[in-house]
Amino acid sequence: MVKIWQTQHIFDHPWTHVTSGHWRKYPNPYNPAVLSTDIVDRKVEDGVLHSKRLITTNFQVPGWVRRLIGCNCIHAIEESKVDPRTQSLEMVSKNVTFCNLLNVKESITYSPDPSDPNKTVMTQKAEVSVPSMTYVEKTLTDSIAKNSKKGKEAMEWVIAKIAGDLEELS
Amino acid sequence: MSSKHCETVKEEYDKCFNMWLTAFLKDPSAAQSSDTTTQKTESGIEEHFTPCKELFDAYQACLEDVLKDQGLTRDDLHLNDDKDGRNQ
Repeated sequence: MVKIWQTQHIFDHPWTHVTSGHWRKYPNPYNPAVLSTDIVDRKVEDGVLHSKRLITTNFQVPGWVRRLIGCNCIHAIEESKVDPRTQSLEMVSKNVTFCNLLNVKESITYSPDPSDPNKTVMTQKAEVSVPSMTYVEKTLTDSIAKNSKKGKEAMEWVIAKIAGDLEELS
Repeated sequence: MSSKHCETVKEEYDKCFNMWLTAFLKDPSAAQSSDTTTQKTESGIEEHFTPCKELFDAYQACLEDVLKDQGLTRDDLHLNDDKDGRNQ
């Protein structure tokens, strides 16, 4: 099942300003979950700037879930096109981690407001789907099993480390 | 290893790119590069160029270690819905 959400917003800034801002948006105080962004591919072809950006985010789940699944970040890829002749910026981003559990695809476009060239219209659409609940269950239990093994190894390690102190307890 | 490992080379690249982008947005035909790559593809010969190529290449070389450390390969970095997703 796919859940779709969409919205539209008008920025009181020209398209060139919004487009420049897009590349410098992170880090910012409003999106603390975005840890870093990195350009992993870029070229200009037929006058259009094509970019691919890796976005690393802090997985916003309770600490106990994070400890169970042993992960604290999600990676997403954003592919975009900037065409200064038509003044359009289009991008699509999607998570590349946990894809078998959850797919979040976001599409955003920025273009000048037809009624005012000093403003920019943004349209945003998000599609969320959970491919397979049984896969979620299996994956989580596999991760729990893996982290349980790590937990036991950690316990062996710390006991060996503090062996001297533990003699008093024997 | 986080991408902070490449912070310096990334900042240098970003500075160059942002200057290039300003020129590109003002006048698309002016912001061209003499460093144009010709690439043979299935549909024919494509020409493209990479703005601030030297700095970009240095940045990408640095990122290889970061990607490897985070368990990512270049093959993972795409939007293709057909490919099986990664699972950490």
